[in-house]
Amino acid sequence: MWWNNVETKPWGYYPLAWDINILSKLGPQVWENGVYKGKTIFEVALSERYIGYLPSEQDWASPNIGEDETSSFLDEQNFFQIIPHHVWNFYLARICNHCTYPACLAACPRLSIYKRPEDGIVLIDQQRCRGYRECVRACPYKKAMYNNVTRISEKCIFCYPAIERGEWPRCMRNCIGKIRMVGFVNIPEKADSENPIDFLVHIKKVALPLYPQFGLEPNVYYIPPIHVSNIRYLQQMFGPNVQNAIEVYKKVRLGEEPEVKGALLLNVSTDRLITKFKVTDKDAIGFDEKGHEVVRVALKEPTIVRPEFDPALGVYRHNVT
Amino acid sequence: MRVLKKIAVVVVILVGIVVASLFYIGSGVEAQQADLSSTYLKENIPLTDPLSERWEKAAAFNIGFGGQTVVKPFKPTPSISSMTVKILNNDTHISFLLTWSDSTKNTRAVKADEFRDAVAILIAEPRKEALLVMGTVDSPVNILHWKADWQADMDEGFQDLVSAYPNFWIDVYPSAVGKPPYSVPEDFPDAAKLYVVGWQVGNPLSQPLKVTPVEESNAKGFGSLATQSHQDSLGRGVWKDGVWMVVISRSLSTDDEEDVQMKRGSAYTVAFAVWDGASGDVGGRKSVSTLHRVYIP
Repeated sequence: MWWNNVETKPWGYYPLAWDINILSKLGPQVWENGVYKGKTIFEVALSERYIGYLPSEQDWASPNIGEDETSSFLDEQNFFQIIPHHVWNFYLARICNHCTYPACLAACPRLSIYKRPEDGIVLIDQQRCRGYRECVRACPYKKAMYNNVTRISEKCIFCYPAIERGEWPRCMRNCIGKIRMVGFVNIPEKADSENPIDFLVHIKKVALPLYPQFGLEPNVYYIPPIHVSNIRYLQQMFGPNVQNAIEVYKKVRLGEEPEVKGALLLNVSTDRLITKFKVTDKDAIGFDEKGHEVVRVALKEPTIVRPEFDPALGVYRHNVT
Repeated sequence: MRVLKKIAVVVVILVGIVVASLFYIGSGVEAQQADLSSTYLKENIPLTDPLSERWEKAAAFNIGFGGQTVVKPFKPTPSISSMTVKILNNDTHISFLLTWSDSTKNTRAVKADEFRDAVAILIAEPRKEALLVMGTVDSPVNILHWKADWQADMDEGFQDLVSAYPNFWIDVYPSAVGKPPYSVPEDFPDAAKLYVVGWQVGNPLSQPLKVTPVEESNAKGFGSLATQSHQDSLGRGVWKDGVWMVVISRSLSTDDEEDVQMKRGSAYTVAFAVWDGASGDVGGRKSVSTLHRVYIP
């Protein structure tokens, strides 16, 4: 089972068609002026506490389905020279969202799932679970999974032993592309502009929740892709603020949002949790909860060009940067 | 005065009869209020054999079943309408034989979308009503739960991934010994077992080795089921031609203070529940009977 999976959108999913299935069950819903007026998965239910479904065993069998597939056929060369691309795909890396209103927690008839007050991490009690799989049915993101050998259900634990030590979870720490940032998020009313997560989510609003219309308040936020031409697809996935988020991100590339750039440069730069950050004209600096500087990243990576000839070894260098 | 004395004497005699009847004919009152009765045998009773000839000596009762619509998730339509119950007891033990129709034999819950058949007996203290919501805080109940996959684990060996996927392969597990595809439990020493978390933390559903196919639990309301620390029940289930025949048995009195202690001459509240794996039954998704009273002669 993949507690962390990466699927290519639009044609990839793990498990198969998870988002299409729950969106179909929820039915068409309405946003009005940026406010959701539709129903959540808790409100459309009849004989259960939520709407959901149990994926079949085969649905879990192809984690790489649709990988690298484009939205439609490539019918012209050089489609990539303008942004957005009319033929596109993007990678959606997903873990359990440790939702504020978890469907898995609501679904368990035995209260075997709990959300820790100290860090909001949602856990399935491995002693108490009896493998009913109500959580597997309920989670719209399908991040509660059944273990075929222990016959009970499991989910991402957000590496809570690492979090307790002030360290990043493993999936976050190992991101090669350095696209991930981990921290504690505050409610919007208490957003702290020095907290990189609050800054990106609440203040600059460049990071958006995944399928907010389900009603769970997921706590993993995504900066939407700027190269996808189908804005309605992105709005369905990240909510109505997609266009604004894209505009902010584009400004970063033009040098007009140095603080956002600084915050993003701190991605996967250290394995210590960053509670506060600061951006000078040269560096982005991350501080832990005790105020100690844990990382400093240059806003512009220094470029050093070595001489072509190395006199110490008496050889010409093949590459000099 | 003589008339009053006569009346007084008559009253005293009548009171005496009533009081005596409360003590002396206690079993009669109990037996009359019970709709089910065990059949007493002086000799050994079958504790794990649903096919024993001794069952022919037991009176048979037909128990009606309905859906579960008390607490979500509901199962509005029951999988069975009735079950046959036979009960035998001797001086030390009590044994239930439960027989019901199930055209599909579901004995494995390994795949993410498969569920197993099961049956359970709820037993409650005498003279206390146990609600159909699995007991209350003041009136906890015993649940004796037979599971078809525990039965198959005992009969055929622990059903690992290979039981569902015969060609399943994995190159390596951390700290596993032996050869791929690695069997639980033989190839998993303590260092490897650490990563099979349900097993490691002692969850009864995750233990590969089973001693009995019947799990004893207590409950104080729906969602509160807790496996007892000491297991006293035995049983065995056999499926043949679309019919499950399951024996669940226990000593009448046990040393376990978590058990409802049973005595000859007393009546107890019982109820039954059945799970049909093919319908996706598990947990609260079950077919249930109403409350019954069983008298143990």
